[in-house]
Amino acid sequence: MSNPDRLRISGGAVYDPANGIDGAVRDVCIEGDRIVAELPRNAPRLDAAGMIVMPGGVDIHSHVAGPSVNQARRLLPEERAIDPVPAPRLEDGTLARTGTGGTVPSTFATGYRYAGLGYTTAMEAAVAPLGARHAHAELDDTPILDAGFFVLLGNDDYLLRQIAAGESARARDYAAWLLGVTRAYAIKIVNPGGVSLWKNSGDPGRRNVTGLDDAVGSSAVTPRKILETLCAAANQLRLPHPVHVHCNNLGQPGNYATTLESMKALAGQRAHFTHLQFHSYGGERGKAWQSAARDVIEYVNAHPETSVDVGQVMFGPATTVTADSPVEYLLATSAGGGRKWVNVDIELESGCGIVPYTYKEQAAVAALQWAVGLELFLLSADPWRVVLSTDHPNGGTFLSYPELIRLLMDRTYRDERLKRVNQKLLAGSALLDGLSREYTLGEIAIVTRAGPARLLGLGNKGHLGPGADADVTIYSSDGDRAKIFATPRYVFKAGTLVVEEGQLRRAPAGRRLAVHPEYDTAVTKDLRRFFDAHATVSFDNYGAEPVT
Amino acid sequence: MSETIVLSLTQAPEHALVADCIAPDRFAALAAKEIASLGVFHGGRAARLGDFFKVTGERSPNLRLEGDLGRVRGIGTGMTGGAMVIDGPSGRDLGVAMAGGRIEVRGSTGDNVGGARPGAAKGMTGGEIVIRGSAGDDAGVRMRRGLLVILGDVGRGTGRAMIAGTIVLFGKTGPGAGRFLKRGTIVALAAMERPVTYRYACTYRPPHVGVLLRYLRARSGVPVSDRHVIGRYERYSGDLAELGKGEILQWAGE
Amino acid sequence: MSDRSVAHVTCLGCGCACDDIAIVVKRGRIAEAGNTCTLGAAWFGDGVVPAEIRVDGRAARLDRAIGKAAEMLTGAARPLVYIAGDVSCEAQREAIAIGDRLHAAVDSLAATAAGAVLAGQRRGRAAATLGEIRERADLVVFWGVDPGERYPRFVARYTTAPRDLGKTRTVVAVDVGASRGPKDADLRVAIAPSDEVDALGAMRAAVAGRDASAPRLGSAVDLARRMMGARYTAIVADGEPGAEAIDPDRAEALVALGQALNGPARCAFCTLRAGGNRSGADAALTWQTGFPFAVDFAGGPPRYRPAGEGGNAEGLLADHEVDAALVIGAPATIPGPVAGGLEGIPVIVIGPRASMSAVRPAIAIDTGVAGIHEGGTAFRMDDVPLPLRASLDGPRAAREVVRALRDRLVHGAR
Repeated sequence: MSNPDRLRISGGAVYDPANGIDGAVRDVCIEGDRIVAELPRNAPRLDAAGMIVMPGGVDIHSHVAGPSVNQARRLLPEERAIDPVPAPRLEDGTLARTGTGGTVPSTFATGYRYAGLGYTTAMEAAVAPLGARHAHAELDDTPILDAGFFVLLGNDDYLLRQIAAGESARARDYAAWLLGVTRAYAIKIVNPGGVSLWKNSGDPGRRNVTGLDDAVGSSAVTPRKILETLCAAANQLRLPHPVHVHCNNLGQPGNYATTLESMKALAGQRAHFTHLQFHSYGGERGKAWQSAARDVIEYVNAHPETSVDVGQVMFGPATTVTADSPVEYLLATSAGGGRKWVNVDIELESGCGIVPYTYKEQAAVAALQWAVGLELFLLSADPWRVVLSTDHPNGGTFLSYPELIRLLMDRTYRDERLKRVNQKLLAGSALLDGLSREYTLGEIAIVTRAGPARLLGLGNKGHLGPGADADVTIYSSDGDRAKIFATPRYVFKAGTLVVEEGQLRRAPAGRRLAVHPEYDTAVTKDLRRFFDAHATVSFDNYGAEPVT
Repeated sequence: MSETIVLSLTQAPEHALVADCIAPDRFAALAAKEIASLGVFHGGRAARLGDFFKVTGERSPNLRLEGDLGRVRGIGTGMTGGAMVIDGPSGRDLGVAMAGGRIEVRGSTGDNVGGARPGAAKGMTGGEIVIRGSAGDDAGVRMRRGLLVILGDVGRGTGRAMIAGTIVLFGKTGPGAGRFLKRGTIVALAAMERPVTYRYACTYRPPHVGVLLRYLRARSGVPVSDRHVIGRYERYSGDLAELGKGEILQWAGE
Repeated sequence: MSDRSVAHVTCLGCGCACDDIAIVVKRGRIAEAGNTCTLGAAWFGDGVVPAEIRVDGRAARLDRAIGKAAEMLTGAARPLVYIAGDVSCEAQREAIAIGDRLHAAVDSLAATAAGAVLAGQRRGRAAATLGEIRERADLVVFWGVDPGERYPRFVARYTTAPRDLGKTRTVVAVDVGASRGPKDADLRVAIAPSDEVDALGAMRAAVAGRDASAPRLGSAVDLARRMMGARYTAIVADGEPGAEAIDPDRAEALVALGQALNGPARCAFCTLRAGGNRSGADAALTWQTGFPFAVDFAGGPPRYRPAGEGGNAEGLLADHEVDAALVIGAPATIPGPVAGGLEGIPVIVIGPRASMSAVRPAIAIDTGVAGIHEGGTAFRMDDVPLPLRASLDGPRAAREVVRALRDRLVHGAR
């Protein structure tokens, strides 16, 4: 099929929850790169009878570009040797590129495979400011996807100094300056204070925070203070997406208490808590684990200003890659060690930890993590605020999204899988008590497109109303849910037909999503002094702006 | 379904011939024509297995390779079963990341026999390899499980970073053998230099070595002398820089 | 070209990538390169570079040279694309695209540190960016290297005690045979080259609380105990090959020690890497293909064939597989074994001082030097990305020439 400038998609069941359309058969009209209300009768037509029409997928939290992702790529040659990615046959004259897959695919393969699932937007969820120039270069080599990244704050020396000095206004201006100079999209907080202690405490007994009110460096600096300062900054700067928070104590039994405390610390303010599954465990350190999904989701359901993405664990190989380096050290040395482990302390800013890890059905903890994620989805009262992610590739790769959708939509399949997993730690889990909920196609459209787009403040994404970006994915409706969502029939990106009958046809470049908030430029004087004293990169070379 | 598939070298490769498609388990389901059309790389140029080998027989897990395969690399990569006999020498990377089955080489082999893919965490995870001739460097590197027996001499780094499994060495060994070894056993019938991070444990007659050597004598006709079957072995536990749960068994006479 | 001065310029003379260079241009030449060390001053020189285009030794127009190059490369059965030094990441990415399009073998200067990279792939790495070492390390151990020789400003910029923290910092020199640490170290430990990996093993056993030493390794084990008691230790070793042959297991032993020390204390292992933006080639090839060097596109998707597999440039050339080579970058930076292998086969060189190449290329297209005549991105030895600033007008940008060749190969002659 050619790539017409105008097209009417007709006869398909449209799922556009942002505009209240839940499966009605209606036309979707594309002109150029936009959705339009109407087209002349003689406009070219695509017959989507019997098919499902949705906006292009939006991934709110993924690790696809930047220094830590590239370290993870370099770390796993054995995975890539058995997952080669041949070049697609493209019709738009662009050079089709080869690549390698595994849990952390190379950049071209990432763009092609996301489009192959019907995803057209993705957010890289953690980039150290020092690596921003590298992240942008990788996103330039990631075709098709509109993409941006969240820049890491919360363990950076300069911010902690402003908090210690009670300079919240300067902290806000610094955050605004950083977002602009790194061309980032939002603020990402990872284990606030914990990574700084891992790098700097000098006391082997105390290399991470355990609670929200632990002192980090000076007593005036605590994880709570860091969360409050940055959350206020993001909201005062009216950023499209609020602070994206990876709480303290990730992966620790009993950490649900820290998660709830962190949410309460920011009560009343817009805040997003990411890969919530890793932060919803009951039990105690060193004792039995159990699910605390109920307690956490109850709080989220009751607080409209709080949003989350689940961070579901899917069985199979994964690679944990995060700025939370103390957690990665624990994972690397747990169960006798022997795993590959990367740790990079990033000067003045953050950390990076990487450990390849396989989640097995017969492993008690992995089965619990799997169950906790599903409970969060199934007990959620508002799909707009509890959206889908696997923290790719930490909980699983984005290629497992269709399988996850099937688990959410098909109770019998879910119960069948539940029988096969290790039951040891599942006592008291709601899943075992027979959670019968099945997500509808409309709800899936919310958690995979409309919800993430709204939470990210992307007004032209995740919906099919006039003026929206012409990102459209058309699935056939036969076969099991996993098969349906794994092989879309057609995918349009900004009006260009990129996937046709499951084959990649075109690979246009995606657009970069970034914010440039206003700030008092006086902050740069103090920053220049700080750089001259402590940084090894000149202030004028910092960030990702091209230098003439 | 023939008893054995035979690949006889008809065209000696001028350059390195990467033939990691050769594996008895994969051939067990293929017809002769299909085997001949499998992809290889000769001097970096794509080619077919049939360009270099005459294929006789089909759909059998028993495979025999004839000819001087010194420049044929990656034979048996990732194989999971079946039995393969190589009449002459074989190139490097024989049986890399092998998971099962048996390989016997009546000549010598190159580097990384029963080894790991580049940069990989582990190498061989099962199966047996018997090399009647000598082997190059990195024999049995990062082995996770399985058996590697070398009757001739070996180069440097034998059993480096072994995770588990067993290596039996009849001949001389190069430097760096057993470094970074976590668990597993290296049986050295000739004198072998050990890393300093191995500690002498005892001298005894390990029953499992006797059983293993008799098995090799019976199963693969390996010329094992009685003095080794019932001999005394010094046991060194190491590598203490890792877990210290592995062992080097150094034959110490009758 | 008007006289001017350009500040915050990044130097690619070595892997330190110092970005505080102040260039003064007078009458079209670099008159001053403030803050440079001896290597940096030589790397900038006066910035004057040839601007020729030669096909079979005779001057030619760019379009003809590009056409001839495309013809040669598409006609080759086993082309090699080699990324040499002094080109930006942007030019490197176009070179990789050409390798992908031609189903070629692609290798780069990053392969000189193959041992360190492979060790990092097998186990992972406990590393840090250079600023972290400067801010935090109270113990710096130079293992068999004195940075003063090949990385002159490394100590001044990355391991000097920070001013306001007033922290004392102990510098230890581990002399491995003739490879000696800095002369002004506070403490010296001597280890015989043949004992080196054993010493590292004994040190790691000590860190794990096990005694597995030998008398001759006592001083090494004492050093391990000192490292366990330090607050933050930095181990610095040379990733680049030196004059003396080193034990191939040294890199893995150092990586393992660096990781193990993070139990009792904190530790980062830093490998020194040379210049010419080779760390950029490593990063770009990794994000585009998944592998840091020695990539083979012969079968379509990239395969990883480092030194042992004989698939890197040196191995392929030694096995006489390659029948045409495209060098992107300064031919003067090509390591000896690779340059030797290029003799006798048709070579195209696009890069700084291509026309002065000792390899007598069939086609030579001179370009500007990244960081002197051409901007873009480069990577420091610790994988930190830095901008390049052009201070002089150069012949033509390497990035544009390589892109033109790529377009010619993808779309054919316009």
